Amino acid sequence: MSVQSFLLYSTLLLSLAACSSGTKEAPPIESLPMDSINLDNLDAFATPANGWQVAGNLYMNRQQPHQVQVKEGKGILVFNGPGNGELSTKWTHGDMDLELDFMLSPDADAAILFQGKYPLQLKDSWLKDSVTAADCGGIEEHAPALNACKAPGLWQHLEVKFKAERTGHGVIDAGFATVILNGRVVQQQPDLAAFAQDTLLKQTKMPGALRLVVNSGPVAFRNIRYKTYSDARASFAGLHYRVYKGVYKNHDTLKLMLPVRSGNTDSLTYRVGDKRAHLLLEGKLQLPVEGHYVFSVRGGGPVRLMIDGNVIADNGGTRDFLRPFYGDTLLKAGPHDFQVSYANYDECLVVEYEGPHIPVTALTTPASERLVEASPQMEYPVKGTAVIQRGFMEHGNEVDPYSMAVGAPGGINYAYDMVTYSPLMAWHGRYIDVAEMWHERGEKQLARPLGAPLQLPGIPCIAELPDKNAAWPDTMRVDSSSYTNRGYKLLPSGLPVFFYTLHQWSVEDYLHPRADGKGLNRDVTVTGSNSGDNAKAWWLLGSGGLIEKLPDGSYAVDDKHYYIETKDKPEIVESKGQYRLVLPLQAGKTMNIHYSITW
Amino acid sequence: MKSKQYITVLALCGGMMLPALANAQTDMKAKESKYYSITDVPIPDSVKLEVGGLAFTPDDKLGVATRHGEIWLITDPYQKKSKQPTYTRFAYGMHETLGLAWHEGSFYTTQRSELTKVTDTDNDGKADRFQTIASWPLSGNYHEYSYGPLFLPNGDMIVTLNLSWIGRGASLAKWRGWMMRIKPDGAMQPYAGGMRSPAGFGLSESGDIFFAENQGDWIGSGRITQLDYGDFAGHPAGLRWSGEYGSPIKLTPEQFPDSIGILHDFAKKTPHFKEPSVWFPHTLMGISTSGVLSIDSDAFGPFKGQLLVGDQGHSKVMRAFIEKVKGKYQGACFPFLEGFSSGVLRMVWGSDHSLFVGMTSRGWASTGPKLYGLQRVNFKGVTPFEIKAMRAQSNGFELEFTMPVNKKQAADPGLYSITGFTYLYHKTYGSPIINQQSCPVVKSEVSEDGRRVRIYVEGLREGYIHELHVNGLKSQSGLQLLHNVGYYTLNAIPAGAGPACAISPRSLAAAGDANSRHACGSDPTKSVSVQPPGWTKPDVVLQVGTKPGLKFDVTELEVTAGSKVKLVFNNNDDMLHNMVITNPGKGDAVGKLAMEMGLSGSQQAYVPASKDVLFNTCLLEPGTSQTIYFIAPKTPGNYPYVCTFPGHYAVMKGVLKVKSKK
Repeated sequence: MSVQSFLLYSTLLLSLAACSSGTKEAPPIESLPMDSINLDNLDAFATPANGWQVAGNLYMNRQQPHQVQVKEGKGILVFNGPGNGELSTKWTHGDMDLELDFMLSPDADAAILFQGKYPLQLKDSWLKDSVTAADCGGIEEHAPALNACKAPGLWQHLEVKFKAERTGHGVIDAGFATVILNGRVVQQQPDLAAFAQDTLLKQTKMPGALRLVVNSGPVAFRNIRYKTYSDARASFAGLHYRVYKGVYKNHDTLKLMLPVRSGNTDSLTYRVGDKRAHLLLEGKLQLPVEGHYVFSVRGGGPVRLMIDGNVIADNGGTRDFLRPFYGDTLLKAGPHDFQVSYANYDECLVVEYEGPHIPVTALTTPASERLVEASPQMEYPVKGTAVIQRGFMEHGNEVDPYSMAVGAPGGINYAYDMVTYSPLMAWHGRYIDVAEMWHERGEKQLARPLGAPLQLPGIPCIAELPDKNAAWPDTMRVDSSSYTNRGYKLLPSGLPVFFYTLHQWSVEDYLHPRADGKGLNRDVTVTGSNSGDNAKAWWLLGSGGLIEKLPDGSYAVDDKHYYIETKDKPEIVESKGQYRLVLPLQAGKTMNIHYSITW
Repeated sequence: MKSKQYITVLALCGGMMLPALANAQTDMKAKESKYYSITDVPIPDSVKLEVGGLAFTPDDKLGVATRHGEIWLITDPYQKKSKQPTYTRFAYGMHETLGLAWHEGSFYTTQRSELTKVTDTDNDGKADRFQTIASWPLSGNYHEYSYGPLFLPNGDMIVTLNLSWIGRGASLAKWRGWMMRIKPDGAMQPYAGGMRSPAGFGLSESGDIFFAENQGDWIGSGRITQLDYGDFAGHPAGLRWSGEYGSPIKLTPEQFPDSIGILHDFAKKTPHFKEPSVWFPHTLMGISTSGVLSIDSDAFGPFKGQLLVGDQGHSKVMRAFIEKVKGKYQGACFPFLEGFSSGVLRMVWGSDHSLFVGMTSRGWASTGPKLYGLQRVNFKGVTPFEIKAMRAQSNGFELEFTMPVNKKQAADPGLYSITGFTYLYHKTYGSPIINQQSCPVVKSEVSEDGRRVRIYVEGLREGYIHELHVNGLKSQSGLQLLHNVGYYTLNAIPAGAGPACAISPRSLAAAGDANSRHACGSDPTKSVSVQPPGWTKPDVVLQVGTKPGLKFDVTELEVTAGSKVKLVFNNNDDMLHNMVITNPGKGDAVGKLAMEMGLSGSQQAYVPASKDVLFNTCLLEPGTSQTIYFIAPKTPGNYPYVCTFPGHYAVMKGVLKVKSKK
């Protein structure tokens, strides 16, 4: 084989390898799976006290504390007893992550006790103007940063990173590195997260059980998932660096080059290399246990992580130093060949890993990370009248660049998509922060809600369908919209009334706060002209997972995500596990549709 | 608007150049102020008037669209009734409105994702109806600015869509990088392509669309280009949508290799490609062209029919004379007015023919220090002595002045210097000035009325920018030229109708000498390109080439002290390079000196007149080579060699090791 054809061949192999790793069916996992508590029965708990049971579904009346209906089945843990109740896991824990859904009845008061003694309050604090340490999301002496509570009878979501007490050079109290309630951070103690990474600190050996305590119920839990952590961590031996002239997208270029300098190092950081130079760090990574490991790299310039000669994670050469790239692998305990190649464009190299009972931990030093200056706070005030502002907004995991945020006095806010003409979110409390739009260049252009947003589908609310079971359209073209004569009017109150026309159907869509402050009213007027083509159309009130008509006449939408109340007679349509609440429209008539949403 | 890289560049040069620039500006501003006054339109403290668009209403209120998505109405912006005009917020809540027009009872403005009609239906002075006329997709990238609309006489509207920025200009959503035409009913059609950052556009007196482009990737320097339906303006990123329904352009991005060379040559053989009408050379004129406005009356001075072009980064307004040659627009740009308070983005005429200039500098720094501003320019009625127009002729130019010149003086061709140059057309951000060559002015003829001077110029090159300097010319009344420089973009040379011009051999030779002297530094003894008499042959021949990424291919050379050296320097890179050998330890110092040479740098091959420069080559264009001869230093040691093209010395360097004789 000639040299040339050999080179060609190896290039081909390389690109084939790149393809096969690049076209994996599933994207790499970013986190190890959590353990979960089996709620088929109460076996996971030590000596269950009276009043606890497992259920298949339940209904808690939004206004009356003890109007509860429990349906037989499994998967939901309910305390519906008189008085108070308590439940402890059979296992104990130190550092841990916990995620669960919970449901509170009106005035319910409960807590989760980490290590058996550090409480996190779960209390019905819905719509309270000011919250204290005793309210939902409160921890000892620390009120939650905001009231992120949802209405009684709805499922609420909680994510906790708990750090156990540590000793070493000084004692660090136990606490909550983060508590996220319904998507909003309500507690954050960044010091704890940092201290937990400090290997000089030893964890005190006094694990305790996770306790669920109910002072007054009923209260329910489901999807209880967790990770518990030991103190074992990976370590390096024989770490060595080489610095090469130049920066290369193809890390294998270094094989053809001689380093300009090299040496041993005790820490993993870009700082042992040079600016605008390629750095190769190699050594043995000593793993404490066998198991599944997830690695991530992020850097200002190309980064590649190899373990035992295999590429584990590669950022594809990006200079986006905020975006991690993941890779996972099974590894045995003991030493492994470890290599990081980094083309130092922008002075940021971060390598992290997560392992069996090992939390996400940086292998690089803190000084190897480039910190981003936080933008200042620029809260958009809402005074006497309602306000609107268009911008980009996060919706689910994506950025919606066609959003309008609407804030009404009294702390009722929502966001609306100006392409699909559909609500994206609704939240209680303060309106939006606009620093990421209006500070400096505003590179994110994000308007950020200052409350816990209820996520709504944002799909078109009107559709012409052959029949009610046909697939509902979930998008709208931006550059050739099916809607004509579209836009919004501003009322003297400052609130917008959106208008648009789909074929023969002219729509006006007006969302405004309920008089009692418990959510939004939606008044929709659809005028269907008589076009003679007998097109059938429907209005979509709500959609998503399970929609149930509740005993009090209201609807619980998307698996008890929010409530819809209406005097109209919508119909629940189910198809492949997806539910819709719809009203048929009539040609030649003006229909007024009224309903409210409460969350 | 421009990208991140621009700020970095500004920050890098800022400390060194801006104070000097600021002083020069103060002087020039004082001179200009004899003819044009610049006054603030006061803005209340509560209003953040980050101007994105300007438009007058029929009742002479000034509408101002802002980057916060508002439209303000300013009553009496002329300050006729009160020193403090009244501001009313007419509309708000939109997304970064970067253009504004008034049409039949409504404002029209462009938000990031749509063209919006904004109407006050109940006449209470506040907009209450916002109708989306047309919308287009966004990827969510912050650089996806949208501009307009510009109303055409038939009621159609023109908007432009900035490219996204991901370390380079990219079109992450459909039609980014395009100019769109929108019918009153909202039907939208791509009109022209190839845009990068088309923040400004306007109509010429003849009703043609001119848009301003900013330096960046594929764009060597700022410029204005006249666009017809189906034209392509030069940046290939948006061509990924050229296969979409409605596209009038059939080019694809794959037709654009990373390094193309000379735009003019490529444009000639590429369908749809519309060459820039007038280049605004980077830093010589401004750094970020913005709004384009035609001078529509004689009440603003003697420039009716010409275009005003704003510059955001340099806080100035420039002037362009345009003419059609062989069916296409070309012309010259001239400095006009500088010293505005913030970054100039928009201009509009007041009813009294004063000029309103709207500004913003948030995120894009400007020499005008304020974050935003609104200023008004009034012509004082005194005609400045200016080069009014510069017209291409078959063998030179006709210069028209705003007043009669000193005819005797003007007849001296030595008063005029012409230098041709162009930019690289490539994927890289910006471009050096390349292929610079001075063109001998061999004859000048003054018209009877003294207002026109016909200069005969040798060596004009089609497709090149030609810099004009007029040195010391006075008007008949003894005035100095207010601005004595202009840049003519010679896309086409008019057919040869002009009289054949007699060139004396002497003038050619003189010009030729000047050429070689300028191109290789100030001291010809340091750059000897003929084997010195008395050498039978060199003791050593050294070969040095270049590599992409600012590198010499050899970074260590060795010679014996006092030996006869023949050095062959071959620039096989895609940029301009030279090779300068310095005294030991002085490589960086010489490189820094070269950066401080300013505009004279390119005249002298960026070789500073310094005793630390021992030997140097000329500034070599890509693909050329040069041989120089020298006697190696007597003192052994390490003599650095560097490329002193500004910015290269820090990385493009090597060492000439001089060993003692055995």
